[in-house]
Amino acid sequence: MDVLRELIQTIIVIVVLAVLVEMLLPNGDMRRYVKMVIGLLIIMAVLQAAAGVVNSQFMQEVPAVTVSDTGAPPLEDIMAAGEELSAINRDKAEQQYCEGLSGQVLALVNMNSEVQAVDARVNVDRENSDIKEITIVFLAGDKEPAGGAKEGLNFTDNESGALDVQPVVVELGEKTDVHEFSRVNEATPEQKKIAAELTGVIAEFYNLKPDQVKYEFQ
Amino acid sequence: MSYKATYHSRIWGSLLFLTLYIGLTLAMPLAAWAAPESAGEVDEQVGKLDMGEVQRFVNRMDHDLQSALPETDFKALVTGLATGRISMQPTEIFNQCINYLFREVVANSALLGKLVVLAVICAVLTNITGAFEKGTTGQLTHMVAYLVLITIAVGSFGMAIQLGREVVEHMVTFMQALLPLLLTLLVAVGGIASAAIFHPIIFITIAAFGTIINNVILPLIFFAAVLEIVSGLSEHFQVSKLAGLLKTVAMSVMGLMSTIFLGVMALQGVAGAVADSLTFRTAKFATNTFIPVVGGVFSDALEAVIRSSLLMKNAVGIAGVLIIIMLLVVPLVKIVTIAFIYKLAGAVIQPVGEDKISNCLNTLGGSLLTVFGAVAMVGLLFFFSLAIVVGLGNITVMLH
Repeated sequence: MDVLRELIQTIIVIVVLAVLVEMLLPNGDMRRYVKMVIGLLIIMAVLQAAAGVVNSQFMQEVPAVTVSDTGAPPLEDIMAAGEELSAINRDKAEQQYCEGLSGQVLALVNMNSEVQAVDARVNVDRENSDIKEITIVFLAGDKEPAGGAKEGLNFTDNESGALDVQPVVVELGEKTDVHEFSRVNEATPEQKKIAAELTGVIAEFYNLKPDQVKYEFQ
Repeated sequence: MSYKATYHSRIWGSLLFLTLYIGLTLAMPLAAWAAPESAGEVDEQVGKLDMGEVQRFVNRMDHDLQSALPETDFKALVTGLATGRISMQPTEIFNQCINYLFREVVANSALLGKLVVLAVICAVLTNITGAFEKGTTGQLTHMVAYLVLITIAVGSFGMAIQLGREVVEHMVTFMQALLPLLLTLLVAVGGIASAAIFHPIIFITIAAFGTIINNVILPLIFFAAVLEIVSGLSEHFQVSKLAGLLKTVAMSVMGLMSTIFLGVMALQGVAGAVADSLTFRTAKFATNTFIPVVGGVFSDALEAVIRSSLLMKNAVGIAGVLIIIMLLVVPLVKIVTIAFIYKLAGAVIQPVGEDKISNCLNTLGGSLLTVFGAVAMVGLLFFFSLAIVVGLGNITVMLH
């Protein structure tokens, strides 16, 4: 652009001079000659600039632009930040997936009225999002009747509908009736058998190996 | 005259297209984004992104521009746009532009006054040349008045060119701050190949485009305008053809660059989106096949989570477009106002009988409109590049 700027400056000077000379010259043939000479001067200026451009090494003047020249952050940083965000998204999706799957397993298992499943823990393979292991937690002992949570505890409903817990008085020296507060943690053989059958059904249903679905009692 | 008509039609065509496109973009998607249930997720995702560079840029902006933004905190702007709390009314923006235009015309009325008074003096001197003892005395005084007028005109023309250069520089800086953010979000929605392809291309093209506009195209337009003025000095020494050549070169370079820029961006974008969707679909197919009942649940859950990132990416893109518009509108209105003042002065002077000055002012007005077109073209291309990056994420997710 410097060549062009110099050319424009030269042309401006020549034209302004030509205008002044034109004003100073008397009317006559001289004006025509001056006009021609000024015209030749302009052509010379243009040719000189063109010759300068032709002789110059063009490619040496063109800068090689690279990404680092532009002030852009490296791709690795962008990728790392994006993948971090992506991992957070994946964790959230995995959590939703596990919760959904756990609900499905519980619903399927609880269709059998002889045992009660209280939880289903789903482990997912993080790499390919496959189900790694399902552990179904059954309630050992008798199946809890409806409203069983209140059994043995002194709950009363007050007028506002909130639950009031009555204080428990422990009297030493007397026989305490613990039968109502404790649960039998031992599963019956019948329950174990049913649990094993149910885990097999779940494994077949989700197209898993039998050892991928486990059960436990609490 | 034909090339001038072509330039002007191109400029006004691109301006009309820019206005319509931006207007429609701002008017249409925002209402559809009002999804209150996703506000928490968007807030959470915004908190995890590093928006410091963009915020620093917003803080450095002029007070006028900051006050025109609905929110000066970039995070709040993005959250507001994503949740629909901030809605831009196109009529409000249009009214503000018109108000600003009239304010600028009033502010530049002093320039108009100077130009008209000097032109009238020139006209009077031309008419009374015969009254001087020597005709050349009248000519000389006329020329001096003409040169004074040109000095004033070129001064404000140079100021307009400088304004254009600053706008381009600001836009390039802003794009360099915003694009890493958008590419990060593109990676988060699964566009890893797209981001890898775009990273070098987009940064190099933006920097190269800004440099070429500032160092080649705007100086060429300036030189062309100066040569047009010099041609007006004397009827016998014309260099208007050289001016036309420079203008043609400037417009051709700009046309060529914008075509290459858009073509490369669009093609690379589609290629990246297809590559990303192929990777995702392979994983999804594998999951679906081996776990028949719930196979789709995980990919569906993942898509649902990805959509919140997509929503935020679109909000970041819209906020970026908003800031690009704010950066563009004020200087462009100033340039258009000065062009209008030149054209008006030329129109007012013509009946006085001073054709030379009238033509000169008219040409300067035309050249300023070319500057306006060049700067608006940069804004339009940056807007397109933002739209392509934002749209690319949408295509990537859509192809999942």
